[in-house]
Amino acid sequence: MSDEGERRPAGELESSVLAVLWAAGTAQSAAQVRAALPQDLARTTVATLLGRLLDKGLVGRRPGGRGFVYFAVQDTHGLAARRMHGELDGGSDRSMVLARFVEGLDPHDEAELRRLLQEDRP
Amino acid sequence: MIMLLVVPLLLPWILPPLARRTVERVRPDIALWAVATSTAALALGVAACLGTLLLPLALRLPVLAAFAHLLQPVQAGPAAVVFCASVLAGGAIAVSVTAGARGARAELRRLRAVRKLVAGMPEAGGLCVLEDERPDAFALPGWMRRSDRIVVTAGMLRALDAGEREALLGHERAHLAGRHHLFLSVAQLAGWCHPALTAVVPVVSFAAERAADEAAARACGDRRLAARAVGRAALAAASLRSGLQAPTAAARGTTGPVPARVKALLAQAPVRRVVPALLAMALLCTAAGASSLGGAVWLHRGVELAQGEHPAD
Repeated sequence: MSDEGERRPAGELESSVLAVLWAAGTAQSAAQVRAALPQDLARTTVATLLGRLLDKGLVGRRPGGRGFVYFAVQDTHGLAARRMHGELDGGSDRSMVLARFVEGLDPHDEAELRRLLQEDRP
Repeated sequence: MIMLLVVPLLLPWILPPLARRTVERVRPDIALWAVATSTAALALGVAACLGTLLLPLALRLPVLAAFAHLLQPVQAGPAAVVFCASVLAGGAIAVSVTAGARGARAELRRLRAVRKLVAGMPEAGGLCVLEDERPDAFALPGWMRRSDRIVVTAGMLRALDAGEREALLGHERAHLAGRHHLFLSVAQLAGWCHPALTAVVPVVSFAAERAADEAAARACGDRRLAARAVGRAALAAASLRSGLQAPTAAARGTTGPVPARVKALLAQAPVRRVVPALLAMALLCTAAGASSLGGAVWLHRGVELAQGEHPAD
């Protein structure tokens, strides 16, 4: 098996597994997680990564299918999320230091962006 | 000769177009360095000149004149001109310091609040996920033994496919690894010094995004994938925000930063290290430095004369 994936720092792989579980929204088996990862990882590696996330309390599991299924643990009532949203979007000025991945789009930008992505589609 | 101190106050107006050209044409990591350094250098020039211009007015105060051992008032050109320049410089300093203090306080307060929230959250490989359907993602630089974090909402992770999620994480890791927040902070501080430098702040921010985009494209080995990640994330964020957010400049004809980033990722990777605009920026900084130094030397001579030294010495 190979291993563009396994050469990367373990922390990066952990975050990828966590992202998969959050994106899925429902409980996933280890095999499903492995299939959803863009990196090509060994089955044992995925099991180890899930084990570490389990220890940190980021992920929960319950019996399901032929073993366990794993799910992302949500914080209580999304309290942190609401507070964060208030901090970032509450004030009148934008934060300069916290570089957001994407800033707001105006209608002109939105149309332009749709055109660019459309053209790119093979 | 007082013009030597005024020129560095005018030169920053030339920087924004040069900075924009540089960011469009040069490798973004180099552009980020070059533009941020030039902005900082010109801001220093502006601050030095304003301070020097304030000197003749300050030395009229008996306390300060005695402190500087002046025997007579400083003669630095036509008295009316010098007085006006001094007063204007004092006003400009007051405005800048007020804006800077207010802006810096708001920014620091927000950073502290966000850090406190993130500190209580579990993480994996630096990633914290917020349970929020609104797509959002940002890099939070570490501070005082707290390590770097990437904060992403569940909504953002669900809006992207597996490859695009990796591109997003690669982008945020590049921001943190490149310490881009330092460049952004320097640019923001410079922006408070001079209105023309305020116009460069978004250019520095764009250069940082471009540098992180290129790093993400390299990390996932696919420029089109990185382009799609940026584009789809922006569209997802826009679809939820629309209605809440008033369009800021719907009428403007120019392309906003997000489409420009996607376009750049769909084109070939930029490889040029130097372009005329970058050299022109270097020249601009040199000119501003030389001019403010010349002005300071000239005023220093004026002060020495007022202290009773003879011109021949």
